Amino acid sequence: MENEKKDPRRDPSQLNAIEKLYEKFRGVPLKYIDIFIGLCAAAFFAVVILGMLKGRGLL
Amino acid sequence: MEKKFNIKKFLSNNAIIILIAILALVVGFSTQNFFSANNLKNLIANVSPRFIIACGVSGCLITKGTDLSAGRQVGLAACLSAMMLQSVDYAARMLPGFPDIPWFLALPIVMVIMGCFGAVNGCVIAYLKVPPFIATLGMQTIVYGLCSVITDNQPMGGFKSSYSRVALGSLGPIPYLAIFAIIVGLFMWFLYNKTRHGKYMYAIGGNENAAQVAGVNVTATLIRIYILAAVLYGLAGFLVGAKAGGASTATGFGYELEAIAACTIGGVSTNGGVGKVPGILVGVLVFEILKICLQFLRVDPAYTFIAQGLVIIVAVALDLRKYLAKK
Amino acid sequence: MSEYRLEMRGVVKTFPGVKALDHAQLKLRPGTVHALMGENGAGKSTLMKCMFGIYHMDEGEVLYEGEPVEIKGPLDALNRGIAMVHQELQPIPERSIGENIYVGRYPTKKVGPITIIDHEKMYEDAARVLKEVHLNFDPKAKLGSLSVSQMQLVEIAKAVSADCKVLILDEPTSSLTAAEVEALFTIVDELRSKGVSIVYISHKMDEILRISDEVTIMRDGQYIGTWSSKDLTTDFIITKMVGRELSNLYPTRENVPGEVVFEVKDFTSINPKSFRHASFTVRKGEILGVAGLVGAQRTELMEGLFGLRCHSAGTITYKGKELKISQPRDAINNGIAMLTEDRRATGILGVLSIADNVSVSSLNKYLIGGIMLDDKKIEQLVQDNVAKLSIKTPSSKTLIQSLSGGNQQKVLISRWLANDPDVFILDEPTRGIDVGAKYEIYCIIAELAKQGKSIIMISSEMSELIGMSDRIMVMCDGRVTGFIDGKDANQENIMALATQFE
Repeated sequence: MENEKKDPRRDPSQLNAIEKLYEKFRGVPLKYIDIFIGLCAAAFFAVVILGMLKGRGLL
Repeated sequence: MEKKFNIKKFLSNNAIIILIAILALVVGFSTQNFFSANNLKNLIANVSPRFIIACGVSGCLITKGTDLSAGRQVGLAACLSAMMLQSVDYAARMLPGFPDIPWFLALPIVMVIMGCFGAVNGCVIAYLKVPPFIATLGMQTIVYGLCSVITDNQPMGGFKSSYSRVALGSLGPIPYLAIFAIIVGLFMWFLYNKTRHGKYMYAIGGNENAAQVAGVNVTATLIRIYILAAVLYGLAGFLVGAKAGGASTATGFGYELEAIAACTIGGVSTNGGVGKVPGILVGVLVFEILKICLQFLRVDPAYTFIAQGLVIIVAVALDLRKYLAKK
Repeated sequence: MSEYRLEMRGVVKTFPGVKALDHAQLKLRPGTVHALMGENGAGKSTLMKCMFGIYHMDEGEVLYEGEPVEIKGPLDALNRGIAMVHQELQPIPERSIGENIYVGRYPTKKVGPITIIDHEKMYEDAARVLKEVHLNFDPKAKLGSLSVSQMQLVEIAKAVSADCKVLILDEPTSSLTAAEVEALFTIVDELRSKGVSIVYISHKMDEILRISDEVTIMRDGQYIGTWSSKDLTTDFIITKMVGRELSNLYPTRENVPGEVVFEVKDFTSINPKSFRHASFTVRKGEILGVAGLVGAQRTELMEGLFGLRCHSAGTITYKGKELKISQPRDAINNGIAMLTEDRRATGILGVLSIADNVSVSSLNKYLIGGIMLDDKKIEQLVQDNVAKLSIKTPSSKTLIQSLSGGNQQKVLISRWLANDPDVFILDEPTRGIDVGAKYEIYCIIAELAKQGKSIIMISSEMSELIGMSDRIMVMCDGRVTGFIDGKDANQENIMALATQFE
């Protein structure tokens, strides 16, 4: 609700390395990032279960 | 749309903590000895040095920097401590002519030496304006190289019993390791919340240019942050060496990744300017509890690496998401 | 067929604790420019977001071309022919201008069974659209290569390209130069003659009176009224916006300038294109206004004095003593304070609390035993300032970024006052602040001058300069071109000096 002259994106020279990396994802809709996170979480559980099986010599 | 926002926000801020808590409960109720005093002691012993390292990195992260040299600095510190505190009559002593000094003399020496490395990091970042990512990456390699040279790539063991006791002994029910961690925790809490340095640190992280305009001595503050970080790595390395009973050039490898992930899980974000000491502790706990859970589940070690790596990726992805959602 | 293309009736929208819209309404005729005015928090943006489907209305209806509609979101609105140019840009700087214009609705073509983006067509269309709005950019160039004002023009081109019937412009000229504003007005005129309904949200009175046909005023979420713009005057609009009579826009000033205390001689930047040979003096208790066109290097000169920019020559003297300033800390230690032009970029520490923002420059004064911060004393400082400057905030722990512009500015002023500066430089102190808060800040400035502080105030608002300054210094293209006494100042003589190019 502000009526200020705003530039939400700061001068590129002020961003540090990690932010420059993050900015590359600017165009990606949040939905895709959420899906990616969900997939990683699923992969985590898969890896844990597989690892359990392997560790008990069942794999 | 506005009501759901709160649940979503809570989940995305604390997702990993919730996941690991569930995992811990599952493991706890399906295996023996998980909820035992022994396991708790084990957890505390593991958490203590990691917490100290994470505290060191936190200052760098809060000011929108990073410290990729943390792990190797811990390794170097462990090796330096080892070299000074091997048993006098140990056959394979690294420095045969070195006097027999007590651990509480070796510790400050190590911390001061590591502090110098921190000063170099700080100066390169603050004066030469080299991005912290690059500067500390370079320092990482240099420290590793130095460690190789000094130890001639020989692993060291045979420590004095007084040194080993630091890691294995306790004051009543509290392990000495925990006492170090508690002291560091209290010191960091005081520093971050009750001193000018802490305020300047958060100011720089929030908006470095605005901090400069407001009169904050950005250069001095940054250098102090990296020196403090290195001093903490020194202490952590000293403790890690004692705990492991040995030190080599491989010690500390990859510790920075876990420390940064722990900080991120605990609320220190690349967005800068935020992060609290209790949060750091939570982040470290989450990681160590995860490790113990995987152990109890008898997960194959290779798979453990992958699982930990996935948690780190999710932590970074959530941080990225927060960054994009904010702006 | 209704005479109105778009109507919003009886719109109610409540957020927790706040009734943002209280039976608001808006009626748009085709082929008109309809201005929407109101203070910050009046509900203008909220109303537009309700129209667009970004917010869900609690009550009320929207009629489009006579038929009730429910707009589900920005893309749905765009497909119906309603486009909006937001106040906050959402550009993708890494991608080309063409891609930015067509993001979310890229033209496609089929290659065998696969549908891919038709880049050729996209760039052709983009070039055509840019031409229509008289912009000379290469559609393949990266958006990030443009300046902020140019990006805003591309944003406008994007909305125009959608071939819309309703176009909403939210503070479109906030980042534009005077020439670009003219270009925008030409586009708006052309759209109007094509029959497009344009909603123009702005705080700039002169623009509104010039470009709009009708004006709707809102206050506290309520609809106050709609008038034909030829019947309106600035005073009338302000009265309706604020809800109370403002006999004067500027407070009566009681400061009495004393002897010269601050002297700048031959101040030159290390950048030859920036300020050079700037010399001026400021007296005790005086308000020196600084006028000039965009690009006159006023901000650069003041930043140079404050230690934010390097100078190659020149001296700064306070009460006869020469000051060595190479960074802001030096200036602060010598009693100089500066309120910067862009508070978001170089002013506020957004993620920190109000208490932190107020105290950050003066922490040395609030120590116990030389090390520990005295939170009680700091809290006292904050409360004193909140009361003295009427800062509206729920608590001292609130993050400063959630305050309105005017209140943020007051927090920044408190920060500087905590050091008791002698010289206070203000760069566009009331930019982006609503009318009510502006008056409060003018009162603060007047009070500071009365207390004997030397005030230097850069402003691009003529009436503000004339209304508040004891003396006005005018700059043009990096040089100081002249001084005008406050009582003799008018738009003509200021502009004459401001355009005195070599």
